[in-house]
Amino acid sequence: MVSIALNDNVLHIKPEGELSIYQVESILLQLVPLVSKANVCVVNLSSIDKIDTAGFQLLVSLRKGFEMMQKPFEITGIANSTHNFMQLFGFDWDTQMKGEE
Amino acid sequence: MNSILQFSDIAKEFHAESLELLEAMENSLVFIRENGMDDESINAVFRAAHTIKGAAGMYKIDFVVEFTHIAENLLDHIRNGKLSMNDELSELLLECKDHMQGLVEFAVLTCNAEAPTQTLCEMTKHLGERLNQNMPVGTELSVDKLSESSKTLVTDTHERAWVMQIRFGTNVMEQGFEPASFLAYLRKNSTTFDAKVDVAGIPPINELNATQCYLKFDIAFTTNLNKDDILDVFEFIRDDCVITLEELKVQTQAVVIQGSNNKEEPKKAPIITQAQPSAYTIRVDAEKIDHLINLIGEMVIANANVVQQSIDIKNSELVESVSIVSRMLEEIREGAMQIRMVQIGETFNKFKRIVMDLSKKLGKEIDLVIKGGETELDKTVVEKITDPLVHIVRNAIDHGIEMPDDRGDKPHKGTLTLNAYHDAGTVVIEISDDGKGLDEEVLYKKAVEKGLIEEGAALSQQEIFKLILAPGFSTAPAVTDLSGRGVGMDVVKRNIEALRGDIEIKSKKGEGTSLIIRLPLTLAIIDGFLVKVGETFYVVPLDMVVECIEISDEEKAQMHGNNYINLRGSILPLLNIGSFFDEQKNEDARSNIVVVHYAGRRYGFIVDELFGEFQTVIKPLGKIFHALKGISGATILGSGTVALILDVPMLINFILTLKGGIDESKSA
Amino acid sequence: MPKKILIVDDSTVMRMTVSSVLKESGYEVVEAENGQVALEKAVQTTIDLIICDVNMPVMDGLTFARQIKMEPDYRFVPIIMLTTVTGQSEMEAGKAAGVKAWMVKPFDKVKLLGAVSKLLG
Repeated sequence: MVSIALNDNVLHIKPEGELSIYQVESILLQLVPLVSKANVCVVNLSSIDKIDTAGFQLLVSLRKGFEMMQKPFEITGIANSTHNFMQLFGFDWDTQMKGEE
Repeated sequence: MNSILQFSDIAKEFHAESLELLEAMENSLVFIRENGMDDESINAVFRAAHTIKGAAGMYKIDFVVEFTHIAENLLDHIRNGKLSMNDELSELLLECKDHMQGLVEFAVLTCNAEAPTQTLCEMTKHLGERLNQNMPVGTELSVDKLSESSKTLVTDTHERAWVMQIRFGTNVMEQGFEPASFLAYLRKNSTTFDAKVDVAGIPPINELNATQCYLKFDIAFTTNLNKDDILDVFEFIRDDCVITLEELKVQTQAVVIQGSNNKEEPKKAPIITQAQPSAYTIRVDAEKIDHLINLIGEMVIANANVVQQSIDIKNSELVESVSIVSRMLEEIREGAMQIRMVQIGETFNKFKRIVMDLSKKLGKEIDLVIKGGETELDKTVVEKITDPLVHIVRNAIDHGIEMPDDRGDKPHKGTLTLNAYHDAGTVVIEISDDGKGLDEEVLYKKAVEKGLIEEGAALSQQEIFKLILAPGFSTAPAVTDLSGRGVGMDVVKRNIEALRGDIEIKSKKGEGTSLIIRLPLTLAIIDGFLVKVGETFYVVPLDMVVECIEISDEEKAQMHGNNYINLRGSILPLLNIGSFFDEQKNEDARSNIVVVHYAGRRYGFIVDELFGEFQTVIKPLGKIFHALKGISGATILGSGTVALILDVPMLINFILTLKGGIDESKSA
Repeated sequence: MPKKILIVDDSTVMRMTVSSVLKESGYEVVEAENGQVALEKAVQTTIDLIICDVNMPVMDGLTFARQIKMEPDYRFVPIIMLTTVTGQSEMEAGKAAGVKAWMVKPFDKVKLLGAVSKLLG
């Protein structure tokens, strides 16, 4: 499950429960038309208890989309399971992906 | 002790299943005795033995495992053709089946708590020896050496440092594999683990395919797993991944030994002296592979000679050893050919760009659909086919697909489809568009105008379509800079023919055009079917051969002047190879028909004698034979005699022109 | 929540054995004696991994694999083929059906658990 809302040009995304390969396709379909309309994107991960590679890629890809448009992108509420996953991948939201553009 | 489940827990089920399997084994053995061996029945026998051994192994019923293992070993040799089945063997195997049943019954009765009786042991020994006597030399198994066959995993206690780079295959996730799970597993089996994900491959959100994997990792870890164990972690996905694994050599140990008596230093950071790279994909110069394949080709020829001589000498042992060598040679050959095979997908993907650019330039809207990208073919073929494909695609976009407003009832957006698949030993590449199709009338008129055909000449539809491949033909009223000046398609045809390929054109006015290119899988070696006509040997590519028919005198009389016969109710067009190549007339001998299929239809070649399958290394004919029609190459037989390889597509074309186009529907 | 594994094999001995090995390691197990039964059981519950034999009556393993992959909830569920079949053509057919993981019977407990753990994390 996921709640997606575009308020005042801010795209709020809050996945709940699982963010896995079974959800990413439908989430992607919902997101694509909204991305260009948003000026800011905020992803709240506090309610997910499971993330997988597909979910991770979706987040990174979303962020890349916003960075390409030079619009702010923020991730909040990284809970334990997500944190462990990022650790396994050796990924850090703050330091990685810089210098790619 | 392999499991918390004890034998007593499953003894009943084990008993029932074993009896069922043994019954199946007996039935198959009896079937083999009566009807001769086929793959299905020998596999059933093997599977029964193998399954019983497996179940017995899990519950440590050693005396069942021990005996079944010997029987299975022999069965494996029979199954792989290393031993031939005979009545004596099947009798022995039936006895073994009875004995296995006795052993199983005993195990169940005693709950595997007792050693087998003296009688059972003696029987095991006795039958075991007889089984071994039938085994090829050097493969016998000793009855008492078997207990060690259950492999114990020796873990290397030595800890080593590794660096791995892994790029996951794009479709691993779609196949149900989660990259993170593999990493977690590796981490669990490592003492230190430091992975770094490379996200550069992930596209921005509007280009993301959510279920594809785009990730690459650099992982540094220390573990006491050895190299094979580490690679085994990825065993299910290794085909799709690119993995490089390097060990970091640590010198700490050496320093300690050389230095003093200070032996407590293992915690110290390892000094990296040298990294030993051990990549798991290798780039090899194509020339080296070609050289290898050439050598194997020569070896196949040399071996054919050996086979011939061993048969002449009539030494059955020699014949058998030689046949083992032949089989292995065949495997080597296939392995080597496999190295050259590449998927056509990459080539197809190049067209995305071409289609995009061209359609933009012309103001057309075109979707490119790619199918069968995973179809494999010889790298040389791929290289040589790329340019012709580019030309065909350009042609289709330029002449085939109309401007969006001219497309009538069809969708505004045109579709161009590239499709590849394997069919009867050939690779088929189809380029189809849903454009305006070919107009027979226009083509005909044009060809007359250009002086390519005489006014009034009777041409089949296919012949008219093929006019677009003729030199000096161009249907576009104005020559555009895209699909050239009518030289292009002619070159396309020549290139494809040079690959021993063939083009077929299908088109419907207003609906679209398909060019269907058939290519051989490889250029170097084919399996052939050897025949003789007059004094000359000819080879027909085996995958085109459907069957061989002997013609009775009666049928000969009905052969309609060698033109066609009635084969089980349908017309089979014929070509007399002897008269085609002006072989010496020998009408009495000429009594066999080799039926070939090509492009979905069947044809017959009349020949004198049939010799059967023969592995053929193609030797191209020299330039002076260029004008020779109907021959695509030559090969050397074991005896040193030259045999000519028939160019089936060309000969079939000849049949069709000869007949002035037999009614197509009847001969199909 | 323990991961749930579906074992599909017509041999009761094999099912009982695999099942006890997995249960011992804390997995939950569902058993089916052929592909048809497995399909029915799969839709009743959520399965995390499937271990499947090839040769089975009623519905064989590869047919089952192809069919289960068409269920939306099972598109990405990993399947391990545990079989005596080692023929190249069967393996190719398996790959075409989307089955990449093959293990040969008789299975080694450590290897089986390793494979399960690799696929389930």
